[in-house]
Amino acid sequence: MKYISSIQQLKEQIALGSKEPLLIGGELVFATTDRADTKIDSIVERYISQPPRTASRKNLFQSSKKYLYVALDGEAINMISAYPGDVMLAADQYLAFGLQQAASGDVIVLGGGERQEGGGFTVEGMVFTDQQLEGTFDRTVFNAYNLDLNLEDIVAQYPDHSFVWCSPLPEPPETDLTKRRGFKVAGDAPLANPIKRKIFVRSQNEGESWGLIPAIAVALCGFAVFAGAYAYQWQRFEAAKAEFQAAVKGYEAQYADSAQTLDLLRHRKFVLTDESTTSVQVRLLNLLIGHAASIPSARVDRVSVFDKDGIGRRQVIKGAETFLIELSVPQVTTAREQARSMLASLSDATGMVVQLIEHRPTTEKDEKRWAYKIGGRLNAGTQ
Amino acid sequence: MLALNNKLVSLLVGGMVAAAFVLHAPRAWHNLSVLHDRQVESNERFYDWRDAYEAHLPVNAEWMRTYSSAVKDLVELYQKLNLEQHGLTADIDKVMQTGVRKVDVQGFDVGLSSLCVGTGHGQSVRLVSTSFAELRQGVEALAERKDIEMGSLEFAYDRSTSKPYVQVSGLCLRVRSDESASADMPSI
Repeated sequence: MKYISSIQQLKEQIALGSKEPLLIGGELVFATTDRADTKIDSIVERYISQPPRTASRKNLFQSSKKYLYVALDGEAINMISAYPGDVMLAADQYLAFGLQQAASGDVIVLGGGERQEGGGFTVEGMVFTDQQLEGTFDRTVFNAYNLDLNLEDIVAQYPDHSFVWCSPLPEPPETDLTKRRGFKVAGDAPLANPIKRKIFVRSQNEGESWGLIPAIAVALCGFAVFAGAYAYQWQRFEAAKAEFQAAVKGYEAQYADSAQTLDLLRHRKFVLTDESTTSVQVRLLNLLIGHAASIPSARVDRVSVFDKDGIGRRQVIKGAETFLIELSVPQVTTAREQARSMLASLSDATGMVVQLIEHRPTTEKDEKRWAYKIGGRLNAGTQ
Repeated sequence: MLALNNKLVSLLVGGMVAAAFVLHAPRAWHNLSVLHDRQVESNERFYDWRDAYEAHLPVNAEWMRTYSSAVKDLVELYQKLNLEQHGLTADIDKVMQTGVRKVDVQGFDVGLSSLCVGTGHGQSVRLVSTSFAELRQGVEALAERKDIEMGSLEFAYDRSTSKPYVQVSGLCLRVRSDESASADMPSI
């Protein structure tokens, strides 16, 4: 990885046609923790703002989080974005490394590289206090003595911070600073994981983060309440539906027309259990036959019981709508007198209206007889 | 005073979205609760229907036992009338089918048809037996059968043959006419 800190260096690198990864820093990068610095006219004229970088290890809801505001040289930015190889910003690498180191204590990260023009090297420093970036600085150092002098104010301001010397700075000289307790050399560690961020050729919004994650989390909490209520009731509904589907299995065809199915069964039960009219007729028939047969010396010629529809009846005889008995008895007195007792007893036995339809004299084996046709019908109240 | 910064704006918007969801939660709860209650009522209606249906299911088996399936011809019809089992006989050469009608109960089609027969005496059939007592018993037995219909009955004495007879009008055999409905019913 080649450290590039000036336009001239960049042009030379591009002219080589190389694809070697570049680490951009020095005068090509303006990095600060103070947003106001990015509004200075001279800075605005020369540099193109990039999106702010989070410069804190603090949690999402901490309001006092720090940011590193980074801007790239306007003249170099098109060359950088068109460069065929990987391009990293030194500020990004040192920021990430410094935050990592800050987990175990306050630290000052010293990075940078050799200057092409004028010799010496550029020291890009980042101060990390309480797990966040507190400030940045850069110094041009020519020799060991110059190193201590240039960083004297930093040492005085942060006496308890440890120092970490990072590549591509050259080997640290022996100075009071480098002999301090808490000074260590990190070497290439900050560059081990290159951070490739998009280079924007137009200035990006330098405003602070919108804190979307906490806002989304709050919205999701509300949704969770809604979803929980919905899910609980839906689950109850689904359970009831599943219960129905399990219960109706095997009955689908019948239940599809539930009323009809049940009505059919009920009507069939009625047909099977109800006493038929034929049975009633046969009982009446037996009653009439038995009664007629009990009349002394009666010869029963015909006993007919008619159904209410009159099926098979040749003609309806008035007064014999329900039954008709044809019999004959020996003549004793007048036909009507002999018929009277028969009619009365038949009426008592059947509970029907019984009347004499016809009577005539007849002779059978020299015996004079009365031939009767006796008819009966239901009482008006029982029809 | 609280300074309105980006994060606070985001939190407020997030809070409003959350509040909207929370405020709609009771309505969602209620609406789904109504759905659930309706489903429970539907389930109860089904259980009531099923209990009544299963209580009536034995009817189906007895139905199949009582009424035979539709007959193909007159011979099969006479065979199924089975008058002989009751000691009754008819002049088989004169027996003919006189009509067919659907049986309904209080206007409801129960899946039965009545196939009616008659002899040379119009729509009636003359049945004879060996004695008057057997004739009466035979007619009583016919009347007990659920698959037999009879209309008017006329007991008389045929002087030419010196035999009693009964003239039955409207003698019909009831047969199942709705085979598909019966097949759908699960047997016990």
